[in-house]
Amino acid sequence: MTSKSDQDQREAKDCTNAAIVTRRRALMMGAVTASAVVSIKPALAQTAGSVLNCEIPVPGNHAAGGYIGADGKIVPPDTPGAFPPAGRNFTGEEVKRAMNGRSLPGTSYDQSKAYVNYIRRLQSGQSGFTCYASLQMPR
Amino acid sequence: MSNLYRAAPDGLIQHPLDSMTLLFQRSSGITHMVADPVPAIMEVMETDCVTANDVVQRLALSYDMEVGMETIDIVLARLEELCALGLVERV
Repeated sequence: MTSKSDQDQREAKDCTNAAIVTRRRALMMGAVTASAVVSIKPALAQTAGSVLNCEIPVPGNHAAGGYIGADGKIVPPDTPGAFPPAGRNFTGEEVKRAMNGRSLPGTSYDQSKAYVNYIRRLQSGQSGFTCYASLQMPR
Repeated sequence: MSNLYRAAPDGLIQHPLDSMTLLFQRSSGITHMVADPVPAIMEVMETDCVTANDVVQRLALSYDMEVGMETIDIVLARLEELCALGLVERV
């Protein structure tokens, strides 16, 4: 036989569960065709005409003399498996093509991949970032 | 074409703003204003490689929503939209 207090406790627990269920957030799914994103592009996006001619040094001044690891990180010179600095700057056009699967001019396949990984890691304030960011602009 | 998606690994700064969420994407310098269900989708994706179906299953665990074919289509459409913006990548 169930005592009254047991039953009370069970009811209390059921109420708690119900409260948890009703606290679940309702999610508005919208429709397939209803876009849920608005993007604010920085002013540099307006300079689309110059994007393909801008240049990206590999590496930039902040890492001058460093080698480029396969993952794009800067490593000390002569690190095994890393690539020496590129002898020239790459243009936005060349980098864009490399990001679509071609190799950067004058580089091997793996070297190009390492350089592109380095470029992907660029952050605001580092040489080449503005150029790379411009390449990223959607549409 | 792969059906697996993963939230783009580069640093995103998120800031909830009333009914919207602001996402600042460091790599492009772009700020995205996203509305439901995008923040929820990105939240449940975590850092895993997931299909649209996985996303729907995970959403259903945390949110009150009806799950049907339409839901999967909506999630798929949002994932594709996020791919075009570089916030999610196909793996």
